[in-house]
Amino acid sequence: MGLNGLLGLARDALAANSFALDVTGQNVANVNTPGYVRRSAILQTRIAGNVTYGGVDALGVQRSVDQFVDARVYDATGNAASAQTRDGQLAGVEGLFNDTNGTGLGSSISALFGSFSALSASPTDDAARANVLSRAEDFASRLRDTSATIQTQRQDELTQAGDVTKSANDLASQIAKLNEQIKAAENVGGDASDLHDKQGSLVGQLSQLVDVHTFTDAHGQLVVRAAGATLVEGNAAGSLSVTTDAAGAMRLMMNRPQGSAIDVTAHLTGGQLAGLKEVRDNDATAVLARLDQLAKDVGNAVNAQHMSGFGTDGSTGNAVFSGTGSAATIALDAGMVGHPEKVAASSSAADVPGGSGNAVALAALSTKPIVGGSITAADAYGGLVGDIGQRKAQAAQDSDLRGSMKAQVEAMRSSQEGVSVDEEMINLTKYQRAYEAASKLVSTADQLLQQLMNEVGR
Amino acid sequence: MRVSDGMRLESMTQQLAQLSQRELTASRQASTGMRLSAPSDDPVAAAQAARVQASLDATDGYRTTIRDVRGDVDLAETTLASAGDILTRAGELAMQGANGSLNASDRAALGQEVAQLKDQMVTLANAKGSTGYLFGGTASTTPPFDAAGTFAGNPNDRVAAVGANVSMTVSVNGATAFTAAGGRDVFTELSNLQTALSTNNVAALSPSVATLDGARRQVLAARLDAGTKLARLDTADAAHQAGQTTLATQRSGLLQIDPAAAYTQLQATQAAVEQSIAVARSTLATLSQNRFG
Repeated sequence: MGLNGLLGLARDALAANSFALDVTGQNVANVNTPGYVRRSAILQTRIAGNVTYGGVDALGVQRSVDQFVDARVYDATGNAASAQTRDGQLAGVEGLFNDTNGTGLGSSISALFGSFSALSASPTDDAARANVLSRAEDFASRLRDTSATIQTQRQDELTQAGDVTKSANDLASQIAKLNEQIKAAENVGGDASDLHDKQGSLVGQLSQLVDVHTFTDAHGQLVVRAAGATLVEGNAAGSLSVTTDAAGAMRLMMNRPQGSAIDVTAHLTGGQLAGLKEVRDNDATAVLARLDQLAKDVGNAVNAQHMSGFGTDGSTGNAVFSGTGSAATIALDAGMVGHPEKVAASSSAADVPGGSGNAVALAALSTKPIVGGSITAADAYGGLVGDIGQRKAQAAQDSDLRGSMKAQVEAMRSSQEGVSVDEEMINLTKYQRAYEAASKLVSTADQLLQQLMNEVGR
Repeated sequence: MRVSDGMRLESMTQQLAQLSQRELTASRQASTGMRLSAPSDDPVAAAQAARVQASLDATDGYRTTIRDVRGDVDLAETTLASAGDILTRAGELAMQGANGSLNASDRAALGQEVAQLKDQMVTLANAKGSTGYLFGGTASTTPPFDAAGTFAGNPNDRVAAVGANVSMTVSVNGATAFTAAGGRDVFTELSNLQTALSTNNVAALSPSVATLDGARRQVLAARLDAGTKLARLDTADAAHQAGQTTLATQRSGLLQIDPAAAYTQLQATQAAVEQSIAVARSTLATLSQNRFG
């Protein structure tokens, strides 16, 4: 090995350190880029046959990726997104039952029974009778409106879930395409770090929509499983879609890249889709069931009592409400509309028109356990408000808790994969000094060669 | 633990977001005086508040009902007092007529007055309140007595819901106050007196004094009944009023926040936000230093 060898060595060192400087530059440049995983240059002594040469070779870059931490981040992201979605959607339902300012369904129940009490005071007063009808109509229409608003929200949630699956499918096909590109790049020995970063960031986005699990297959390609079924494998992406079953509940279907479409609803545990499903088919249906019971039990109890009484026109057996099967259908009976004389204040035909026995009995229903045979209407409404409050409070708490868990694992990932400018500053200095030293090697070798030329050429 | 730049910024952002949220809640509570803005703030309290509100609404309703019926019971009471006065006067006239010094035309003149008293009695018995004729039972839309004093009403009670599961008879039974159903028919007694006076039947006048006194007692018994009902209504109303105060206190206890506590809480959260901003500022200053100097 001679002076020319020294020049070769210096050339290697210059190339390797400038490559490392380049990598440091990439890190500094991407300090705030989401999904960017910090890189380091892989430097290794150059092997040239069996003799020691001592050169340096930059083999490429290494991403400081940790698949286990990534998996935890995807998991936490899915859980947080699910809770956050549920919380947000429940805020809408809760608003319907916010009685703290004294308006709403609760006051319409009180007003209905109050109108019976007022009727007992003035059974022959047409205004008191008309008031009973308008209070009954108000009670029924509030139930209908509340029920309809919740149903509309459920429909919106289904539409929203459909949109979410479209975004998820779009992300899935991009991830599959990247699998292809990464394979192509790595086959020719290229650096696919940027493509890996992009892919990781897309999986992160996907984990907001649906629960995601990933692993690397035998060919080194990323396999993505969503809601327990394979969504991306190699360069093929499946697709998600939502539909409803016979009972109107949301179902999530997976058209797998290989194989037939399957129902994955039961395995859906995270992401916005899980949150939407939870609100739509668990929270909202529970609230609707309570509303239906309130409509049914109050409607039927009032009807039964009213039918036993007599109106000022002597008519009896008139129902106040029709459609008492559910909150969506309850209404003031068509036969009563515009007929205050049919309001049955009297408990017997002999007491018409001034009898008020039945009005008293109707007013007394407010204290009777008419809902579910165990509680009063006011208690049932209070229970409904408490139940919704509880659901919303729990959702908010979940959202907070899962949000901070997500922040915690993200910090863990950032600690592992994120760029520290302080570190890069040290690297920069390190490679800069090495580069300077290599330059010195070149100039030293040059001087020696020149000296040699001068000595020999004299 | 390796600390990346992203971690520092992220944790700063989160800290501030959480504190701002708390500060917002505290300032809302302090400015509105309400502890709950939505059921989820305290589901148990919200459920209780809904029940208390229902009781308050019901109590308001019962008080309105009591106010509505009280006027008519009051009117019945004064009407019956006047009816009693008429019968007292009729008794005096009977006693006067029984005096042997009067002649037939004097008695006929007294009979004229009795006829007027009877007309007045019919008017009183047909008294009408805000909820209909007072003494006709549940037949409250038609006058219960005709000009001759024949009863066309019924003896049925009118009831009103004046409390939770509490109903009360709020009508005075016209049948027992004025007709034979109560022992003596007031109008027949007055007619008999009028006939005895105008026909100069002195023998019939002495027994009339006793029967008119009986009729007077009968009317006054009905008046006493009305008075008792008034007292009961007033008692019920007073109980409702006390209940309202209790319920309103309970409601504000559930929904409202002590202003001093709210203000202290606001101060504390604001201080925390300021502190967090100060920390963030110094961290940012460190990060923005030229570390490649």
